[in-house]
Amino acid sequence: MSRPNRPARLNRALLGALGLLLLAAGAAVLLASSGLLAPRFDPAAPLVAPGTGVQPWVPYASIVASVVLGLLCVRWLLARAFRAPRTRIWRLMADTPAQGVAYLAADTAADAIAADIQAYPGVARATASLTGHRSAPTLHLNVSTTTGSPIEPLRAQIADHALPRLRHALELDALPANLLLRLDTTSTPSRTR
Amino acid sequence: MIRRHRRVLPASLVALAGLAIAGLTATSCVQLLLHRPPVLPFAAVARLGASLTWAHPLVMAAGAVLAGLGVVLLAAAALPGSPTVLPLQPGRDIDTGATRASLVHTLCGTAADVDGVDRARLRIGRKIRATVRTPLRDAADLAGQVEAALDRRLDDIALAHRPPVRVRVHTTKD
Repeated sequence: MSRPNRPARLNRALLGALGLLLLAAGAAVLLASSGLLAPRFDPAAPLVAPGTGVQPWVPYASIVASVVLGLLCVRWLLARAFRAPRTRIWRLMADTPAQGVAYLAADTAADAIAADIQAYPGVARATASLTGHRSAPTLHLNVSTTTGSPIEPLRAQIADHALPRLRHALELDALPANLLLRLDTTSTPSRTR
Repeated sequence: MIRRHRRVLPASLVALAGLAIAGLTATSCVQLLLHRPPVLPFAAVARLGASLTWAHPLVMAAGAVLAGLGVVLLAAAALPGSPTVLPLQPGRDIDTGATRASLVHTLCGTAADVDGVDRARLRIGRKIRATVRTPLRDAADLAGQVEAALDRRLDDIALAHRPPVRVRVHTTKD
């Protein structure tokens, strides 16, 4: 997944799936308990039929299942640490096969545009990542501005200078981009009056 | 570009609960195989299960609790929550947004920089509500000045959906 706001989608999907599961289980218990399933399911029956034994393999299977579940939970907990969008390595084909193939880590190209933007007036910090395949790339920019710097000229400069430069360097016709701004990240004495 | 909360808190809580359940179950099963008394009292649970009928109020309550938990998790997944990134007016080729916290920070600073303002507080919701404190005795036109300053800053930032600005002035000296 190359989305910039990780792991928002993973969290939503898992929370939603578990919520549905619990809701269905609870509803099933309530149905059984209230006797709505009466002819097929007798609410006067005990939860555990008397004389029910546990098969000898059940503890082993439970151990395996618990370990797998536990590892998945650890993976889910760690997911919040991986927030940067995933990037790839691009394969650039030359015009003729004799010229060979070049490989480019898309993030290297992203570092170049980040350095470009970092040099603009009013920029405190800029990071960039280039995600997706070469045929359908997306550029994610994170730019922090200094206090009181105007936003409009900065956006224009990124659109008119930094982005065309990167597109030209990568020989791309179009490069969809999104820009996340953090405004006024440096504080001046006037702010602390 | 709009971004919302990642729901890290409910996700972490559920993952921790799952980890705890998995750990306890695995430990108990190993103890059972080693003929030691397990952490989870399987025998007592089996006895309880044998003594309760499905129609027992306790079973009904357990079903209700399960369903309730399910609804809570579904709500955590489905409700959008307040945005953490607010969209700006679309530029050429670039989908742009600004973090809400930094917007609050910059607008608060703008209000605090107006002459005569001692301290400013600001919230962004359906409206941008600024509350400023001033030592001035006569602060009749201060609200207007703060509003004008905020409007100038908002013109530059160019939010896609610009909330109306409301300014309240408190005088500290009576």
